[in-house]
Amino acid sequence: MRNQPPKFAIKLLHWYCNPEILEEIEGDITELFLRRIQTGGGRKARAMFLWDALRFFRWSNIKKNKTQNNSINNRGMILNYFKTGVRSLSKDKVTSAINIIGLALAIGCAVTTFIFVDFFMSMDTFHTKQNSIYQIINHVNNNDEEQMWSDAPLLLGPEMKENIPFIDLMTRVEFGNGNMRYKDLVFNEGVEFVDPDFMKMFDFPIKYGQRNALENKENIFISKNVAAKYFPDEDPIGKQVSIKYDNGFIASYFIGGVFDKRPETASFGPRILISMQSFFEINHDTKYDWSDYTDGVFVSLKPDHNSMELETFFPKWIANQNNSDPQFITTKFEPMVLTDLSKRNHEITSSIVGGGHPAGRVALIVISVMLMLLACSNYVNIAVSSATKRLKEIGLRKVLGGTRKNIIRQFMLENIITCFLAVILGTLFSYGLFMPGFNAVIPITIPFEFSSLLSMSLFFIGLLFFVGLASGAYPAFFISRFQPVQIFRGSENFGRKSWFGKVLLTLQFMIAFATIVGSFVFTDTSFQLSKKDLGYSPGGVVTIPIKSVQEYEGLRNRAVLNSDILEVSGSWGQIGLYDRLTTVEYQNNDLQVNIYQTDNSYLKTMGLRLVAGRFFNQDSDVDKVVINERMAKEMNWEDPFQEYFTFNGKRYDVIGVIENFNLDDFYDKIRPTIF
Amino acid sequence: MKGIYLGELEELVLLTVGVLADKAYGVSVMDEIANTTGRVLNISAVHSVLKRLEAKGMVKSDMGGATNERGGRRKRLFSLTYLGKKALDESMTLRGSLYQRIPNMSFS
Repeated sequence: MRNQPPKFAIKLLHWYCNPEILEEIEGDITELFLRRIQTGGGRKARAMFLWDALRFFRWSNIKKNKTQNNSINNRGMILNYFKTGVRSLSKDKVTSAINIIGLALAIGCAVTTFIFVDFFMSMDTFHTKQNSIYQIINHVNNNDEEQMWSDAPLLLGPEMKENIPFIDLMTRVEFGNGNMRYKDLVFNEGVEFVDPDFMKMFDFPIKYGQRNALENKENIFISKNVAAKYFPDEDPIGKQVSIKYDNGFIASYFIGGVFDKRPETASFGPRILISMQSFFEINHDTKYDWSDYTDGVFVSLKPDHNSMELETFFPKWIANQNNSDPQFITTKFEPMVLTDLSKRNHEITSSIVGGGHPAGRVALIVISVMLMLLACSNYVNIAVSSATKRLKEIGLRKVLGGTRKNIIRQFMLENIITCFLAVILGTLFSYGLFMPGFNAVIPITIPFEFSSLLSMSLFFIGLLFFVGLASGAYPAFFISRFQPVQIFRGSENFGRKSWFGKVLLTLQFMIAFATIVGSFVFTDTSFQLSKKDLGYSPGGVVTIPIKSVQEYEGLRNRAVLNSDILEVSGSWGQIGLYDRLTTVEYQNNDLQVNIYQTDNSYLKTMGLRLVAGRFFNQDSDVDKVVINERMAKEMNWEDPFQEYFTFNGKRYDVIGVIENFNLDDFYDKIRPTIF
Repeated sequence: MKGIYLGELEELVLLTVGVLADKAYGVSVMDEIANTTGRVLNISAVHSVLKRLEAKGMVKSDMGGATNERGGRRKRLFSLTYLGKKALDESMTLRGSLYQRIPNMSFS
C-alpha cells in the first residue's frame, strides 16, 4: 500500500479529467510519485501525488459535456423561462399573492423556530472553554428514586483538583443570601461564593476591574444591574460594602470588578461573586465533611483529556460520601459538559443553569414542519389548477421541439422564483412580526440572529431546496405530462384531480383542522386553568419572606395600622410557594404530610374554606391542628375530631377540616396537609 | 507578430522541447527546466504550457510507447514544428538585434 498512489486522488483525477489527456497526465504524476518514493518518504510522495492531481484541475483539463455545445442557445432559453415565469406571476396577481404569502407565512414560522432552537442550542457557547468545562452531576438515590443533583459534596472540588493531574481549573458555586449595605442603601441580595478559578473558567464579559480580583478574598465582583442599583452615578471600583448574612455574620468587601451585560445565550450569570474563602470565614464554626453539599462543582480539563478519564478517580470519593451521608447515597458522579447543561436541566434537581424543557422546542419544530407541509400542499394544488390556464403555452412549446425535460425545467425555474420571493418575504415576516411577538410572550429576548454564518447559510439553502422541491416537483411533472395533440384537440380532461392531488387536499384540510382545533383546545385549557378554583383565594395576597419572629411582629404592628390592608397573618411556609414535607406518626404508621405552622388569621387571609370544625382562635390551640379533606381520607378517619397523631413526640388533636386545595399546578397530586 | 507571440514561460518550454528533441514530455521538460534554470514548476503548469503551444501549432505531439516506470502508461512526446522553430528564430533574431543596439557605456 505504501508504494501505491492514494486511491482517492486517482479517483478524483478520473472523475474530472478529460479522457483524451488522462493517460499522459496520470503517467506523468505517477512517474513523479515513483521517483519521490525513492528519494523521500512514502507519506510525502502520496501527499504530493494528491497535490498534483488537484493542480491539474483546470478548465482545459476538465471533461466537457458534449451537449453543452449549444450553451448560448441554452442561456437564451433560460432567459425565456425567466421572462415567462415573471409574466405568469404578474398576470394573475391574486393567485400569485396567495401563493407567495401562504408560503412566506410558513417560511416565516420556520425561520422563527430555527432562530429559537438555534439560540437554545448555542447556549453558553460564548465561553471559549465551553467544551472542556464540566459540571459534576451527583446521581443520588433518594428514597429509592434515582435523582440527578446539581448539588455535590463541598469537598469534592478541591479533592479533584489536588488529585487529578489533568484538571486545569476548578470552581464550586455556593449560593448565599444576605443584606448588602452601601452607605444607607440596603437590599437583600443573592450571592454566589466561588473559587477564584471561576473567573478564568468562564468568559463573562467584564465592564470594570481586573479578572483576577477575586484572588483577594476581600474583593467581590458584581453584575451590571447590582452596580446600577448601589452606584448609579459613581465608579464602583474600590468602594466598600458590607453584607450581613443570615447567620448574623457581617463581612465587609471592596468592589473588585463589575460584569458587563451578559450575552443573551448565557444560561446562567453571576449576581454578586464572593470568594469561597469568605464563605468559610462566615461559617467558621462549622466543620465541613463529605455530607455537606455545595450548589455546583465545575472543573475544566487540560487539552487532549476527556471526561471519561475522570471516572477512575471517583469511587474513592463516592465511598467517602456514602459513609458520611447514608440518607442520600451517591451512586455515581457524572461529568456533564457545559453546553449540555442547559439542554438537560429539566433532568437535574435544582440546576444552576436555566434552559427550559425541550418539549417546547420539539413542539415548535413540529408546528413549523406542519405549517410548511400545509403551505406546500396548498401551493401544489393551486399550481396544478392554475397550470390549466397555460395549456396552450405548454402545447406550443412541445410542438416547437420542447422536450418534457425542458418543460419540467421551466416550471421548476418559475417555482424557484416564487420560492425565492417567499423566502425573502417570510424572513421579513419573521423579522418584523413573529420574532417581536414571540419575544413579547417569553421572559428573555432572543435577538434576530444566527449562531454562525454556516448554520444560517445551511438553513436557508436547505429551506429553499426543501420548499422548492416539495412545492414545485409535482406540478412540474404533472404539467409536463400533457400531450400537445390532446391539448389542441381539447380532449384532455384537465379539471379532473389526480389521486395525488386528492390526497394532498385531504392532508391539507386535516393538518389545518388539527392545528386550529389543537391551538383552540390549548388556549382554552390554559384559560380554564387560570380560572379554575384552587381551593383558596390567592388574589390580593402579598407574601413577604422574613427571617424572625421579631421581624414579623414589627411588620405586623405597622401593617395593621394601614387601612388598605385587610388581614395580616404569619406562617412558617406559604401554601403554593413551599412544600414543607414532613413525617408524622399515627398509630405507629408514618405518613408524609405538608405542615404549615400558622397563626390564627392565616385561614381567613388565604381564603381557605372550612368544611367542619373551626380554625385556631386562641393561644391555647397550640396542640391543635386543622387538616385537609385529603388527610382525613388517607387516614380513613370516620370522625376526624376524635383523632390525633404524633409529631416530634407531641400529641396533636384535630379541631377542623378544610377543603382540599391545589398547591402549584394541577399536575401535582394533592397532599395531606396539616396546619 | 500576432499569432506567433510567445510568453516568457512558453518560450522557455519551447526551447526546452527543442533541446530535448524526441525525448520531450511533461516530466522531462520539467526536469530540464529545473536543471538549467533552477525554476521548479508544477507538472500541471508544464502541461498547460505544452498544450497552449500545441494549440498555437508550435509543437506537435504523439503518444510514445508504454514504459514500466509510469505504471504502463504512455507518454505524450512533443517535438518542434516548423512554425515553432521559426518563432524561436524570430525571437532570437529580435533579441540579438536589440541587444546589439545597446550603446557601449559604463554601468555604475
